[in-house]
Amino acid sequence: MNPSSQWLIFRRGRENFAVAADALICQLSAFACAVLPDAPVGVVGLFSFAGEALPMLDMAAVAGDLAEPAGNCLIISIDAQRQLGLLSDDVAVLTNTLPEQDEITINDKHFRLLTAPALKQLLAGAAD
Amino acid sequence: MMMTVQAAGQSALFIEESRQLLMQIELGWQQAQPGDLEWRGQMLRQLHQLKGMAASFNESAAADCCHQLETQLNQQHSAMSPEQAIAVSHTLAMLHDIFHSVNYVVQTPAVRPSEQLTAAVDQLWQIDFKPLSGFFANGQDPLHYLKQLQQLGEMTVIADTSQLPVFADFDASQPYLSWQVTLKTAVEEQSLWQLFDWVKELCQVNITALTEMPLPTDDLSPMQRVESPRQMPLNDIMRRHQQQLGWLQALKQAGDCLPATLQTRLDQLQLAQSQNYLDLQKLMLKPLNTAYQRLPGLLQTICKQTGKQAALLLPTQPIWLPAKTLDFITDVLIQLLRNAIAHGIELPDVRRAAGKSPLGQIGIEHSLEGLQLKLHFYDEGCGLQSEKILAAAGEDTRADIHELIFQPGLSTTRTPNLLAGRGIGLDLVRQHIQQLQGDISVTSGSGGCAFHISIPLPQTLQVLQPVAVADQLFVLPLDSIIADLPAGSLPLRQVSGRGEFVEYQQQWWPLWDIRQRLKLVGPVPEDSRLLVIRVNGRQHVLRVDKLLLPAEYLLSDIQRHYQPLPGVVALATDGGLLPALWLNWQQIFGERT
Repeated sequence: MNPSSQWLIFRRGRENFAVAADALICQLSAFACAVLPDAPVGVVGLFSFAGEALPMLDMAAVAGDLAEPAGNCLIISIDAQRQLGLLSDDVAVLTNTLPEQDEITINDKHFRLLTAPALKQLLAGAAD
Repeated sequence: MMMTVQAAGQSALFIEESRQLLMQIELGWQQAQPGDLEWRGQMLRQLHQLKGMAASFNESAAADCCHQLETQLNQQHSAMSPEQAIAVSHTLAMLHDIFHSVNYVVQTPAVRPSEQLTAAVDQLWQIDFKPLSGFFANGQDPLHYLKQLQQLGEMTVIADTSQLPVFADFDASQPYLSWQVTLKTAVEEQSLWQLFDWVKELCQVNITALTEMPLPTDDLSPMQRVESPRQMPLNDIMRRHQQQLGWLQALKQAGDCLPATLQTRLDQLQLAQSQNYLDLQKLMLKPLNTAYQRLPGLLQTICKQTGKQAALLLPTQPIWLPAKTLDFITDVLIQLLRNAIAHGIELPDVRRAAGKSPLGQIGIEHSLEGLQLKLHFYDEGCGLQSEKILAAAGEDTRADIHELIFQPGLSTTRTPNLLAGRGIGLDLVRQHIQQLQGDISVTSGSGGCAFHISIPLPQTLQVLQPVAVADQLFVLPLDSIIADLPAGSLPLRQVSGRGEFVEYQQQWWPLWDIRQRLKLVGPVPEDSRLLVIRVNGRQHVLRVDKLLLPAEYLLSDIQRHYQPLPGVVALATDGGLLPALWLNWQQIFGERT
């Protein structure tokens, strides 16, 4: 796998996160989802994007954090076929900073890397 | 005469106007009654207009085709013979192909956003495609194969019209055009050849690699975007729609602070947005009936070749599905129709001797169950001939003939002809159905043969009944609702260990409370409703907050981007702020009597 040279950093709840910039499809205002029965923690529901049913992930819910409703949403692809929505509190910003281990550090702020395999595990309901 | 189709210099407006005009001509032609001469004048005027437009844009092949049609129509002073009618149909089809060839180039965008990712593995191919005699008689359409190629990457097309004869020598059953396609794609050569599997006996295809592109040294990032170039503009519009929905939602949330007139305007805007969204979806989906359009003509041609007589019964209920799925289904139906006439329907004398009508009936029935498309293709012919099939397969009587007929290379026709004998047809039918993740089975008896096909659709449109529960929306099939009653109007009883039951028409029915089941929060309104619904032949009562007006919804398969969820049939959206869930209530609530 070619490591991405650019990352999108964003905040959700009390934590900061980073996703590979080349995975981003678009950034939108957050919108309502259809709640799913027996969904894994963090999967807040399904939404319709360009005619497709995509799952929406809330990293705050994954962390057990009772965060305010999110203002934004990142639509990203996790493989050649699948996409998902990621809630974010702010508009994601691009950075060239290289990650170390599983995070990016900028001015002592830590941004946890959300890789495609990690996101897939969360969708499937595997432990974070 | 070689017509090179180049994007540069082509006017998109010309293409669009020409295609619309051609559609009008084709529609007029389809609706013209035998003996009715009035349509001719109108068709001649439209053809003349099209010829002028084509000539003015140097589309000489299209102008020639128009001219030939004009000549033919001018020569007719009475009703057309069937042969002349077929000749006009084929010339119209050829004209259609020419305009599509032009259109491909105009529509193909110069740059794809994911080019950086795909350029490393793209290769340039030259594909020479020439349909042979028998191509049209087999119900094939060259355009279909050009469309399939176009899905694979950037494409330019050169249409060779040099073999078009003068009109006096024109034979409607012969293909005269051939195409040279240059395709930039990441797919392998084998996949290109597979596109032509269906018609390898009916056309000449030559595939040549033009340049070798360097392969990437590392694996590509797993996070790559895949998008059909053709869908891009529509997807961009839909993304903008999504953005506007976000703004609308923010405005609605500030609703209390807004004056009533503005609130009304917002509601109207939301309705208009929904309508735009569904109209856009209809551009990306196609009605299943499109797949049936070629069948009557094909039936007529094959019956003429074989001396058999058959009538075709087609359904009219509209079902929407993605264009790619439609292409596969069209191929499948063509093959099943050919198979039904070749092996099912008997010659008129044989049918009479068996006490049957000389006119054999062939029919298609279709229905939608959630996102499952159900197709039944039947013929009232002689059914599967066990002895012939077992003999052809070299099997003993223990073999299942319902499986054997799908085996590659198996045919009960000893000498291959244009209609049957190579054992390709049903094998490819099954391959196509499998490519769509569907199933096919066959039943047979002395009264005929029926193929039962089930195909999961990624998307479709359907009119459904929405209900609201605690700020969430759910949809139900319209015909599943038996009664809608105020919540307090029916006696309710708690049965230990079995939940709540409601009495309706002297019987007790299980009560399903979606609010409790999904742990939805929010107060139960005083005017909540009880819906008596029928699920799998049994009645249940569903408690909902509110019944909304039935509306058209886009249904999307949740497994494409997520995973199968027990009890969830599909996500439904009308393009509004909140999507709805279509649930399988029985699976959600479990069996309760």
